[in-house]
Amino acid sequence: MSKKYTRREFIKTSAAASAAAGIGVSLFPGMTFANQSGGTNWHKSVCRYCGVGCGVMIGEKAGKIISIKGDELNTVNNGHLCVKAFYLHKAVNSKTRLHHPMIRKNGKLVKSSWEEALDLVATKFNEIRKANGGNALAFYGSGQGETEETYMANKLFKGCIGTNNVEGNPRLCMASAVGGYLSSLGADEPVGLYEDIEKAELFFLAGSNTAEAHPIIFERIMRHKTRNPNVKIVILDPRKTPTDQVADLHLFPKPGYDLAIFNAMAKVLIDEGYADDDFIAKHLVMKNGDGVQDFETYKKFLNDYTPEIAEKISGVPAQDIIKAARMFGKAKTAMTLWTMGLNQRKRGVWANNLVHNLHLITGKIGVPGSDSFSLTGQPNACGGVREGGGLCHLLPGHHLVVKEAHRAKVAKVWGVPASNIQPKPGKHTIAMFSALNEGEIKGMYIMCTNPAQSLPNAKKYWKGLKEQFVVVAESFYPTMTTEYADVVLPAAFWTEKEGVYGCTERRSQYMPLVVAPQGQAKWDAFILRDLGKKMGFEKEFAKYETAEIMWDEYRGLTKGKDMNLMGASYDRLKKVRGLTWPVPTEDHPGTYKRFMAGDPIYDSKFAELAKKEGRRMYFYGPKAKDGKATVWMRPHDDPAEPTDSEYPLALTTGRVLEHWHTMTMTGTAPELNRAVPNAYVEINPIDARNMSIKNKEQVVIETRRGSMQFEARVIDRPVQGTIFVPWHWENKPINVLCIDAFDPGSKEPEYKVAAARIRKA
Amino acid sequence: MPIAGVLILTNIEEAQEVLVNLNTVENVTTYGIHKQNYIIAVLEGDTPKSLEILSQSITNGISGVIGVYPTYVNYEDDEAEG
Amino acid sequence: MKYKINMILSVIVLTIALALSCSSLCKNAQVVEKSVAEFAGHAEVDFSVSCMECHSESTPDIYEDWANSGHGKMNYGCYMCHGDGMENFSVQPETDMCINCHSSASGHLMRMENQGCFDCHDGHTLNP
Repeated sequence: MSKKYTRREFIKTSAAASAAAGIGVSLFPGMTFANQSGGTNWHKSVCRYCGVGCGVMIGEKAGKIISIKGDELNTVNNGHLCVKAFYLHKAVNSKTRLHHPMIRKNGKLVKSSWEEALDLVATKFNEIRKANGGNALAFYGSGQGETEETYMANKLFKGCIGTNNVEGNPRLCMASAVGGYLSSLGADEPVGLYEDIEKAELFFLAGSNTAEAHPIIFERIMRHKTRNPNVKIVILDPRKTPTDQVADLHLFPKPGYDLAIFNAMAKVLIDEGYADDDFIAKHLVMKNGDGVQDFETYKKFLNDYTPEIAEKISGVPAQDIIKAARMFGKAKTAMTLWTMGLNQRKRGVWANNLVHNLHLITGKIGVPGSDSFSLTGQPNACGGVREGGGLCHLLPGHHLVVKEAHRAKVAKVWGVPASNIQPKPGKHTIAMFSALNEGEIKGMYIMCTNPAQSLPNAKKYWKGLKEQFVVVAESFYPTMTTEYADVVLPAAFWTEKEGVYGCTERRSQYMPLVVAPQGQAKWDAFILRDLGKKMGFEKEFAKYETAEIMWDEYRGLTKGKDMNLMGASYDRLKKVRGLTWPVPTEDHPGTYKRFMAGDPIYDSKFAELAKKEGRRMYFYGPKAKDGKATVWMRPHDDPAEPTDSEYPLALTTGRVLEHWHTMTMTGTAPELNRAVPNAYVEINPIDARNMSIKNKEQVVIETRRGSMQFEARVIDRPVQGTIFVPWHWENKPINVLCIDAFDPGSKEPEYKVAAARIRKA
Repeated sequence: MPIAGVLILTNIEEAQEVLVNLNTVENVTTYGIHKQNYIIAVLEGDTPKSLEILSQSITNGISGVIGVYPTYVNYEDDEAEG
Repeated sequence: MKYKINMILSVIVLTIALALSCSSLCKNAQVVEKSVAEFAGHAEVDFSVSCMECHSESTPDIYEDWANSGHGKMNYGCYMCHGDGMENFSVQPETDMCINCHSSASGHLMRMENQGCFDCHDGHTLNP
């Protein structure tokens, strides 16, 4: 029997069985369908999408990725997947994958060879460097790049070219959370892990549409609440979202006016006796702009934020604020989860500080079920960029460019003179793209991200992208950013490269190479390595023949740091479902809670001291003094662009469950496209009535930066006076209308609030 | 080469006769009568169009057939198989 | 072996409705006039409207069943089981699709021997 005949017979059987199933008849019991037949090899990996870090199994058959399923052994998701991950194999095999390098010639991108493309980039970059210095070059990376990829970029730009103009899109997403953790708790990233979810009595979801942005976390919360009806959920969000189905109380602030609410909650907690005086006395200091203050000063500061005053500022009824505070205080354990609603703000760091305050003054931190827990947007924002040092002021492994000892240590490992690394931070993202506009930066390398669509006030920055020499390394083509590229390099996609992703909960997980890169695509880390060699750094990049060599060098830099990854070798990571740092040795299981018993750093260095002082925690991070966390007195501040009579509506943006970022990946799955085919604007029914706008009518949104047409969705979701637009679609890039004002501390832009108006199209 | 799994709905009293007739039609493989008046069959053709014609000829040409309802169509490219 | 798995299209039909009610024969006759090619997908509708938007009006009972189910609460829409309606569509989804997300249930399913998920669990309410 020939193979071909067998195959055809098999399909016929499948066809007949399918017909039988139509009338509930089992024609061939136990048969599997053609596309699910045997021969599939399953490989343990991590999801490519958000920062939750779900374990996935990649189904590969005959060298092709055919299916994705949840990894039931992974503690993050216990085998469950959200809708995006389910279709990841379609992104791998998409027609939009780029298979060859392209160079712009006579205004058009044309196919080229690797040799020609890399030669061109190396020559141009060297010319710019020679004529204008290293600071005329810049790198803009991604929280989706692997740690190894960001590591290579850092070495090339900071260590060899000699510029700290190294940034990444986590600046647009997580920078305020970093600022918050550092200034409040002394060290970046959360104290606890996801396993606190199943131990928490109260969830305070502030500026987080968990159901759509982090579905698997939402599922865990929902399941926990279903099993334990005493679990309560308080939401703080200017918009009703699918997350509301689990809410016990929802506070709807005017976008950008919630700082007063956190302060008012703190006031109620203290006034009504929910504060943990012992924890406050032993573990905390109070600070304002003038420095350290006493607890009485803090209490006096809070007098300006009675619930009634907070009501006036935020629009949330005082009674609801009191209720929320009491729920927080009464619960034995509480977890606050937040994301872009707090981070993407002109006062993002302050918002983060004020959330930490609630946990600190009630001692709801460092105990199972209690944590102040920031959710990350991208799969390796924590691992690659925050830990890997992919921002302009950082070096790998929580080292800083401003510290001479750190520069010397990193330079030694890199095999470059310490003087190569500049002591001054480079330009942060918005400053970097402004400098590109102005021609101060003349060459930029963009890896794995789409800033032409994702930057706030995006259109403003197209000028620089167009005028300067821009290289884009991308797996998908075209994107809005490749429109402006001079050279586009085809990057190997997930499953076609190995490396490590570090998710929200300090967990580093290994991803295997399952299939060869498509076409001529190459791994980003190798592209950067080879570019480095071509630019003349042959010696510096000679040794990086494998991902493991890069990882081992990087993890060596984490030795002795708060984010110690020495125990996370490739060998080990290939076997386990990730490790949560600090993990100092290969026999260490990883850490559940930082700064307390069970944390290897605490146990070895601070336990004795803490015991002597009668403390249960010691905040040993680089920004904390005497092991104490800080309660910050942060006043109310208006958003950068308050609404006024000319632009009376607050425009806020966000996500839908089915799409991710600029849709280069989710756009490849017809199912996801069909689920939410188009962009739209949500308008509160009362606002709609006042403006005589009907559901499904075409309307034009105008801000000071431009106008764009959308279909109106009149729906009781955004609070009155607020309109909401999801930001994913290339044909409706709402970020063009967003403001590019940013937090003075974190430099993260205020995507979440802009003044707008609406008219019928 | 397209293959379709179909349900052929017949008048109850004529089901047996339809089955016998179907077995004489080229490119049709039958898998018995189920639930009194459903015949499960697989249709094969060279092109999607030929499947369509075959489907219509069964509907119009065989007495007792009420309708032909595809549940599964495979346009898998045989060429790629080799 | 580079066969195009994606080309396998699970197709319509009104078969199930038909099996439940054989009274609407005239409707059936209408259906029969459609070609096989036309059956290889969802009814021709305005595909710029999302599945859910249309089905909340056209099949409100099914929509309600779904909305109150675990899938509905997670907002996992029609497409998860039935396909996008344009490139792929199946009235009776295959059990293997369920297992990709519910991989921890594969042992449970194996113990059920030759049964599929939908032999016990209703497709829309997901009960029991």
